[in-house]
Amino acid sequence: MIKTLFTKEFLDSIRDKRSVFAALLGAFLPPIMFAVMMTFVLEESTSVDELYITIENQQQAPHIVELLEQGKILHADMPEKGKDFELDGETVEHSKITITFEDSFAEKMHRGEKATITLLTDYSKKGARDEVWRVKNVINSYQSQLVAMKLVARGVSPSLLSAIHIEENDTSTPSSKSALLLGMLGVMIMVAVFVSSTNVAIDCSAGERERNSLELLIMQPVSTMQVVLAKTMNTAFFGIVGATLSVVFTAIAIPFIPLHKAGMAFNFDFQLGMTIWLLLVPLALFAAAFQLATAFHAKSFKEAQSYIQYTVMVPIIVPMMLEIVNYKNEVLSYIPIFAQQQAISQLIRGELDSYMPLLAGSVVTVITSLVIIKVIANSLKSEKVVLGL
Amino acid sequence: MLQVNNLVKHFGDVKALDDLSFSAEDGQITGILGPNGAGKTTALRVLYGLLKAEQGTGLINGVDSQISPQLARKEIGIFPDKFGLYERLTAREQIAYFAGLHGLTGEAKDKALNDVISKLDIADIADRRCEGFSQGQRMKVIIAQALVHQPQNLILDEPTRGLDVMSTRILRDILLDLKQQGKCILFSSHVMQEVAALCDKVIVVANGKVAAVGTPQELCERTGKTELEEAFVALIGSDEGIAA
Repeated sequence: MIKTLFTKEFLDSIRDKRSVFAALLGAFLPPIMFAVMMTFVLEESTSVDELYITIENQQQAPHIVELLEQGKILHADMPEKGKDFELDGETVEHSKITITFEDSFAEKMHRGEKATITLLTDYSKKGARDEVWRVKNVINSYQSQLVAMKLVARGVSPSLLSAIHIEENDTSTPSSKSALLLGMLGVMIMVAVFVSSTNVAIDCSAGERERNSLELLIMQPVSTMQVVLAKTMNTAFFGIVGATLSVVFTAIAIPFIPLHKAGMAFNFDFQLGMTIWLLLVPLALFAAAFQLATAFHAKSFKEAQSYIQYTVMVPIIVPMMLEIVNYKNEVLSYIPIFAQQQAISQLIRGELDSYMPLLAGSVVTVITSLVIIKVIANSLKSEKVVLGL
Repeated sequence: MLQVNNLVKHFGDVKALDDLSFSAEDGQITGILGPNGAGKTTALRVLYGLLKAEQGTGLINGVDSQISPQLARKEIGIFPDKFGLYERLTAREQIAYFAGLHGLTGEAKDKALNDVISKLDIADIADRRCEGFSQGQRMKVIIAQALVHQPQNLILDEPTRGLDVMSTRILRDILLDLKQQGKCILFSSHVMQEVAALCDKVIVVANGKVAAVGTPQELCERTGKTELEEAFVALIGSDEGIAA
């Protein structure tokens, strides 16, 4: 009986273009969103912008000018008004920094006397300190090289100049840097489960009611429990397909994203993918039951859509918030949705100690889903629903 | 054989069914006539076991649908008052679905499908998706899915609504044919000519009660009218809810 019901539900959904597209959208969403986010982060962290300054008396120190150019610090004439000027047809910003080599700079350097560079800038300008630091950094490193060579020429070890060596170590590990972003990836894969199954859930409940075929169905010699079970299975199936594809696409996409450029390390291997997928199966069942419970209350497709767009906020927004603040709590591992969020988050961050909470959370999720299914089945027997048909 | 006995049902303060009893025998076409809101659809829904009556029983071949609705429903084919086809399924898939719901499988199902498709002469549309079917074609598919498990009883709730003359005549022929086979047919309608032409027995329902029972002929004689419509008006005491 369930087979007959499920076959029909599946046939009905798979021929519904909207349902199929929604499932695919859900599947593609996480890897695409992740790639976009990563691209943004990578741009932020790797590209060094060109800095335009005015360099007077360039002929006095061509070496320094060359070094500045290597550090993407380029000469440009001070714009007459404002801070923007045209360069190859593009508008670029001038840093309003001017460095001037004194007229006898080259000669003094030659004679080994102290030569002067005048640096003119408005320190109150936002970001000015960083820009000045870049310029000074280039000049200072030129200077220390020069001094080192002079000392070597006089037979003195340049190491005498630095009595103390500061060794800098960045304690942010590549993994923890990427944790938030990867955690978001986990949340998005969870969202994919919901997005993939929403349309099917609405179509086979409120949609079927709207098309007047639900009444005839519950007049047949089948129990409402069987009907609801078949619909939930079908809806969950679409959720699982969406989840599977999104896990697969993510696994395929990750090696192509140059995470190491942003100082990240993440290995989305088969075992991790499989574990996440296994966590998503009970979630898909829950998503199906949850969305069907909402949609069965609606009389039409549109009504159901407007209900679901609000109720679905809960499973999307809340895990996202938890992920951002990186909130961890034992209790959450036993509540559907949160159980999966906590588990996937820990899996991705490599913080998982034991598989017990995963298993317990999955069992709780399945039981909760069955309770919801039972409630829907009972509600379909109620007079209010029958009369509303 | 369909039978309802002493049904009582309230919706809030409104008494929808007020000690309603009637029966429909095998080998007969029984019509339920009544104005809108008389309780026709409610009575049928109680008979399907979809609604619970406060009192009374609904028997389908002797099985009480209030107690074991699933068992009772196996013996009926239903043509509901509002029907929708699964637009994305073909007519054959649609009928096969209902055959499956009634427990038919394998070869028995295929045979039942082919029988009902040829009987209703819908082989030409059987493998087309239901979207784009005309009202007449839809009616045939609904009849086919109601008959595929060969029930003893067929219940139709205003089946001719929205049908053109040709489709109505086809439906009439189908019903007469089923009557010849000794099936029990119960249908509700507003259309007097149809009831007069088809029914062996007419049950007039008003205000949740049976106002009169008899052949169309008897009802006319009892009220001293020549037309069933006039007789109907005389029986329920108003001309509310009658379609010409």
